Amino acid sequence: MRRRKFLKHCTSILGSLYATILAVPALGFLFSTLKRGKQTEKPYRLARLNDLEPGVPQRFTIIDQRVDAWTKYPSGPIGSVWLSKSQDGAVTAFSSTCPHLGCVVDYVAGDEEYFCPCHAATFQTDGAMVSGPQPRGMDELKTTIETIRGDQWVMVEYQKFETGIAEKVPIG
Amino acid sequence: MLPQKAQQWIDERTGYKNFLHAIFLLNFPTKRRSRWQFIWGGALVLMMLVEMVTGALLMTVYSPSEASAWGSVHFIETQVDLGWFVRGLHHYTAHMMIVAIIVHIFLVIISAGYRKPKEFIYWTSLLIGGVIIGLTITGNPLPWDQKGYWSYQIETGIAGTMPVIGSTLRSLVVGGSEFGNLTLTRLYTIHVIVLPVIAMLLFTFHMALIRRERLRTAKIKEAADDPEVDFQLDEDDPVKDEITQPYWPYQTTRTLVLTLVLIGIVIIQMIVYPALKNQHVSVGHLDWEADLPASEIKLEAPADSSIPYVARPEWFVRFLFELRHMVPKEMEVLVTAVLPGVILAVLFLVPFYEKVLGEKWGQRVAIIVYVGGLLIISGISWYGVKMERSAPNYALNRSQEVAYAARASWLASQNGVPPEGPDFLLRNDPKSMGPLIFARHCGICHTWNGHDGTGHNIMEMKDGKKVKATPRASDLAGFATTQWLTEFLMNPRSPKFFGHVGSTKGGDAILNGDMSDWADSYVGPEGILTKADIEAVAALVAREANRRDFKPLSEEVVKRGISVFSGIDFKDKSGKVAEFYGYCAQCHAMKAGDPEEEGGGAAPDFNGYGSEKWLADFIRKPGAERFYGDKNIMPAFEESKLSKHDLNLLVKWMRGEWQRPEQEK
Repeated sequence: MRRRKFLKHCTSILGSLYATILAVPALGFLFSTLKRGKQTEKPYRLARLNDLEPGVPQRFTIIDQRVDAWTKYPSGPIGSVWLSKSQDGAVTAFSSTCPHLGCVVDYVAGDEEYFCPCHAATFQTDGAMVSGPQPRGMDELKTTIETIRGDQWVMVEYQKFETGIAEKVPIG
Repeated sequence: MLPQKAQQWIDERTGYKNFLHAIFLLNFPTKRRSRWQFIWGGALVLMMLVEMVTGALLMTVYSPSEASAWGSVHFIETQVDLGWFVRGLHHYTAHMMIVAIIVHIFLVIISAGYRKPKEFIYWTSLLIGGVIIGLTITGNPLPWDQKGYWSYQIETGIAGTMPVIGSTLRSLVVGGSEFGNLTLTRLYTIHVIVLPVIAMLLFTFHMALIRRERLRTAKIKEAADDPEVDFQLDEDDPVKDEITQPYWPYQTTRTLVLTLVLIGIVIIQMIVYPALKNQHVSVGHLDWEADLPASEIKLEAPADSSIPYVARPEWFVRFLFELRHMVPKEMEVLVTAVLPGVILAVLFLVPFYEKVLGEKWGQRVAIIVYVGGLLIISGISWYGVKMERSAPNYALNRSQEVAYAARASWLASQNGVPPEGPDFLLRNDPKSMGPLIFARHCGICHTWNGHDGTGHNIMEMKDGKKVKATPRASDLAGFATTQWLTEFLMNPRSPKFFGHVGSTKGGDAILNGDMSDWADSYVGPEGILTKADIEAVAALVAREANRRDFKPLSEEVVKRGISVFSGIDFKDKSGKVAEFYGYCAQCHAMKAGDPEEEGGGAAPDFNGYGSEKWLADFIRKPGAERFYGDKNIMPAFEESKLSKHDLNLLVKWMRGEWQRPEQEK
């Protein structure tokens, strides 16, 4: 019987070794494909300051190259932002992605508020919540004014945030 | 483990203990001598499990389409943690399984495991072997690299020549008559669903038959050992030698030992040959000294019919490939399409050998046929590999394939794969395409370091023998560099330049034309020009091309170059200002060398000489007024002959301009 016991131990040890050879690479493999490339905030030149009409938000598309795993796509739309200029010339930018579940938010000119058509989330022009299922207000993006060849341009640092939670957490 | 109570609770509802007992604890009778037999079967099961786990992992990344297959495999190899390990394990374990099934069937034959009533056990193991070979054949093309693509072209071609079912079979596996989107999706389906399911069904059937057989033996033995039962075995009955032993842990230990040894060999193989390194080839062949290390991944260049590749079959079907060359043409179909069927039939009929020859001789013949067949097949394969490796162009071709693979891999890592597909990486790369375009269009007359750009020599028939063809025009490697121009000015008649143009109609006027006369009069020991003069004017002209390897010139060299080009302030060997009648500007125009801009007209214009635009214009229309005019003997390459895209790649390659690793800058 001692031999039998010894063989049982052998089987367990060798079996664990076999399982390890499979399990370690498997975990490494699976978890590394879950990692997303870290987003770097990048300023995008969107519009001339003078072209923005005070009090009327306008939507601008962000155009950039996109890398998806092994494929690198040429420049194309990767998202959009709402730009609005107040009467005193200060510019604010909001990501057009609804913080509820990620639909694209529209602007309703008559009501002077942002409205997401998916679940009726409504926001004020300063991005604060009015009504609806959204956990936070609209995500504001950093803006800077840069003078290029005498023209003042609005630059926006575009990034994406996690949806469905109350905190504003960048994805990545 | 679960507490006793929980185990009992589950067992009452499932009866799992009985089930496990039936599989592992049952007293299987085993022959002491033939315990080895089960080990290989068990190892095959465990290796199949490795294939399923690694295969499922690969499926999470792999993408079966022509535009993305190569990119996804490259991503697995280079970006995914331990991806190279998972893929390597999947690849090499498959090959190890073929070895294991060959050994397993051999052991079955020497222990007469095909004898009545075990014929079906034997037949199912043969079929499982066939499915494993099918899995490797369908798995190989999935990366859609050169190797997989070309092998599959040939394999499906062979399938198409099979009698009766050929063309139907081919269109089934190819998904139509041509390779395309449906080919890979088909292959993928066959590889990940169809064949594994068939293998599992066969395996289940195989194991059920084995169990049935073992239980029968155990019952006989029980009866013979039981004094209550009136049953005696004959003295010479083989069951007499059997002893009973549970599968667990006796067999399981042995099986695991063997499995781990085999997987260990696989892992060692993976680590020793991590890359496309080919022991017989150094990548630094001729101009192919890669400006990057050999690829560190096991993936050939993306499938592309315009890039040369010599397809080589997998080792286990190599003998068929070799036999094709050994038999006359009309027998080729017999070898490739009929012979595998014959081999299968010979193996299938093993149980019936004994019917004809008796037990002793039947088994002997089976062993002789099996071992002899293996030896012949190995011999043919070994001979084939040896012959191929000693073929004159093997090292060159293989090193280029490796260089293409390394280049594609590097470009993909640097730039990502474009959405159009991975073949665009090399198709837009001057370093890869330049030599091929040169060989196709220019190599007929010109040479590049003595060969056609790709390292091959143009051959021609002379007196019934193949000999290296004589070029008809200059050698263009290093065109428009200071060194190339210096050599030319020292001796325009040398075979590297105008030496052979005399063989072409109108070429004699160039060979013995103004340029050669000029060199006769002014260069050499008698001539007024020193080597430094020649080098200075050559550097001045090379500055127009401004190649990436061009080094800025000193003030003094520029001055001297201008003096030779324009004849102004020319100093002879003693350093005195002298009258120089052979100045270049008499025939050639070049603003940078000729302050008075008087020259030009009679010979090619040197403004921008050797630059991308100059070269492209020249190739398009060498007979233009600003080039050779009516002296020209070079054919013009219009858009219809040479596309704009190809011309651009060719010109960039000739000037040595392609994407390089950062450290070079």
